[in-house]
Amino acid sequence: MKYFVTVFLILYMLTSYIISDNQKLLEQASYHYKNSQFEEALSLYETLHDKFPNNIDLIFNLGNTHFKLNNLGFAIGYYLKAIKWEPSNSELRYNLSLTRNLIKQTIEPSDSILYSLLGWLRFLSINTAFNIMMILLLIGLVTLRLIYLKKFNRELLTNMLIICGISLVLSFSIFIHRYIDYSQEKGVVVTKKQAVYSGPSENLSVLFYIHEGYEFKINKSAGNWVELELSNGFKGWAPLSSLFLI
Amino acid sequence: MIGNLFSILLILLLFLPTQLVANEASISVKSSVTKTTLTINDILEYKITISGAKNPPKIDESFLKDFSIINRSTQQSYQLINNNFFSSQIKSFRLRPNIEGTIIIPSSKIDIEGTSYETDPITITVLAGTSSPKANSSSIQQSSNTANGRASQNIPQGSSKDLFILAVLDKDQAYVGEEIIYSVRLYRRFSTIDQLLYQEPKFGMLTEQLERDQQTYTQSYNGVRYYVQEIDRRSLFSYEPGLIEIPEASADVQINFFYGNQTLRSNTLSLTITPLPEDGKPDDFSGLVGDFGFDFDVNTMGLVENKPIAIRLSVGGSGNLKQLSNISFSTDSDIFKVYQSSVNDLITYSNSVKGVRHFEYIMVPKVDGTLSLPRFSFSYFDPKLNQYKTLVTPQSSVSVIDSGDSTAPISGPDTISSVTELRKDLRYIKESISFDDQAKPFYKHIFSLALILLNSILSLMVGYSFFHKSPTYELLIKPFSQKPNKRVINSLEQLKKNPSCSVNDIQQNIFIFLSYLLDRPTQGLPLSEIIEELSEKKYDSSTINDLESLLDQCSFLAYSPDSSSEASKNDICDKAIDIIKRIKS
Repeated sequence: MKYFVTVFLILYMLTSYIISDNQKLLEQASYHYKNSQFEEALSLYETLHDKFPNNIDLIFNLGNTHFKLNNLGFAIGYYLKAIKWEPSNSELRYNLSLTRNLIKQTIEPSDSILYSLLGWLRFLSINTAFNIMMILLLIGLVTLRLIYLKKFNRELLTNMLIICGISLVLSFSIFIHRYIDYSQEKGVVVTKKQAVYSGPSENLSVLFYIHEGYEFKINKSAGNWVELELSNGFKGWAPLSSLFLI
Repeated sequence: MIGNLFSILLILLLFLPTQLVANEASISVKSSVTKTTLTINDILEYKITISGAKNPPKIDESFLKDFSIINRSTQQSYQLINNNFFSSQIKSFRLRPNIEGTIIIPSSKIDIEGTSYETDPITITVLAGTSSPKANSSSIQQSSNTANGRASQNIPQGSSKDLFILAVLDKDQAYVGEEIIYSVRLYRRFSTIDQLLYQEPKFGMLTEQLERDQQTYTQSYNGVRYYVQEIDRRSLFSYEPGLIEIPEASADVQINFFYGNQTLRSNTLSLTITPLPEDGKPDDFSGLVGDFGFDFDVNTMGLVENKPIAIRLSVGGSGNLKQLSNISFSTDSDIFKVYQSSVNDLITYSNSVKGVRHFEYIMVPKVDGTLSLPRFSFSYFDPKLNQYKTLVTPQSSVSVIDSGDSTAPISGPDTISSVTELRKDLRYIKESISFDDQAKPFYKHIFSLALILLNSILSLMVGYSFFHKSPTYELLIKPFSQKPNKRVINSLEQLKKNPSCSVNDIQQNIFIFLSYLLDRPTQGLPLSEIIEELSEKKYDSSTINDLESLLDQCSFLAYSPDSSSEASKNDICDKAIDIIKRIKS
């Protein structure tokens, strides 16, 4: 017993020390940011990001710091990385739109009715879509069980079951839509200007040029090269060194 | 004798003057010019005539430093005098004066066979130039090459009337840097040829290959109908004024197998390149000649102080676009810093060199507020209008927001009613972060996993509720269910423990087992038939007999008042279990 208490205390102290160490780094980074020492802030945020790669707040801060350093490609990349998990985060969306305004690529939203109707879907994360689907399934199963047990008004339960069924189909479609979006590898250009080649070699012909902050989808990769596709359908190969993969 | 002496004297008299003339005329050097008064744009021809030299002379051209040598040519003739060869040469220089006023063409020093000879100096007067050069107007009139390649000249010398190539220019006078279209066409009276190897001439100027007309058409030429095929088409750009001779092009043609190769040579062409007028030449003129337009594009939305923006300028048209390397701009460097970023070309080479040259400039607003964008301009010379043109981007103002480096004014209470956003900036960083909050996909979230588990359990329950009585369920569950003998044994063991069970229940279980053995329902069958079938399946006869007696016992007990006796039921159950085990063993 005594042994366990000792181990527990040591672990607790160690954890507290590590946490306080990270908090200290965070405070230092915030201090540098406030004093416009963005290079120093970036270095500290990156240290923390290496330890906590999926912390949304840290990714947000990294995006801001890159923006202040005029690394617009990196800024957009980090904002998109965070938005992947929290698409409804208004602060992230605001900063992303502000950064996008400063680059050359214009992403014009579609004016189709379907886009207007389903535009809100982009505010749903993959996790939210999944949980909604699971909750609807749970309600449907409970309703079925109640129908079987003949506990409540059968008509009411049947109506509820129909509504649940339709909602479940819809939520499943939304989940699939979000899952495809989630699984799609994306990236952002981080160099000021990058030639896009017809294949994974600089000896091949240049198809077009992309600039810092351009967003693209990744179709495939070969070594240190990826085949990217722009929103206008242009495809080509670019080296990984000039890209930020989300 | 006297007659002989006279003859000798006569011959000597005749020979001596000739010898003297020959010695005098052996080397003589003269110089001349075609005109002594000319304008700065005119061309004069300076000739040095060297007579009597055996070897080619060496001429130091440094004395022509006040002129641009446009062209040099040499004419040479040989004479055999007293078994000696003497050459007579005329060295011609086509010259354009570099300066105005009175120019003395000094004596030229000519080295002939180790001896230095000098020509006489010539004084010429050069007047101020005019914007439209008059040079070589005569040669223009004499030229047989007309615009659009409508050749009206004769068939090149040495060529067959049935097969020849003809070189044409779309113009025979052009300005420096102006586009000239050169075309070579094959005229043939044969419908087909086997092979054609074309050798372009040495142009001595910038050329751009154009797409040639792939079609073969028929054309009447000097009253004869020919198949005409274009074999070369290119744009020429000369940056040196003067008269230019384009040498002949050649083509090796094989008509068919029976004919040998023929080498065809085109006509030579002459072209006068006139310098661009100095009058009204803009300061930013870079040598662009042609017809051009100007377009620009800049996103003026959301401009932030010290944040760069890109401006894209497009110069399009036809002419020597590549001559334009940058576009000049006027701005106050304290307000806008401008840097050239990139140049991209989109040029087509079909009928002529046409296209667009895209320039990208990066502008950085150094202050905030409403600012006038820098104005970009470029100049070109329009050869059709014979004048310079300057194109400038229109005046436009943009609103630049403060980057936040300076303090924004604080609104007083009286301005509350008219709140305006002074600038846009990022939402501030997160200063307090919980490092435990890590983004995870749903399959790693405890809540999502709990939902999956709950739904799985409920699905099984609901599924079982609705489907456990259906034949499909039976069919599905059959491969996974217990074997009938074990199930019946388990059931009989349960019946033993159940005080409320009847003999009928035990009998039922035995019939279930028998149905399994005989693969058909046995509930209503007579006992004799069951026994018979079991015997046919060659089960142990003693076991069959025991089974028969057990079933009889059951039938008997079912109607006996002692049927609910605990001991008898247990006894029957044990017997039934024993028989089942024996049958299955």
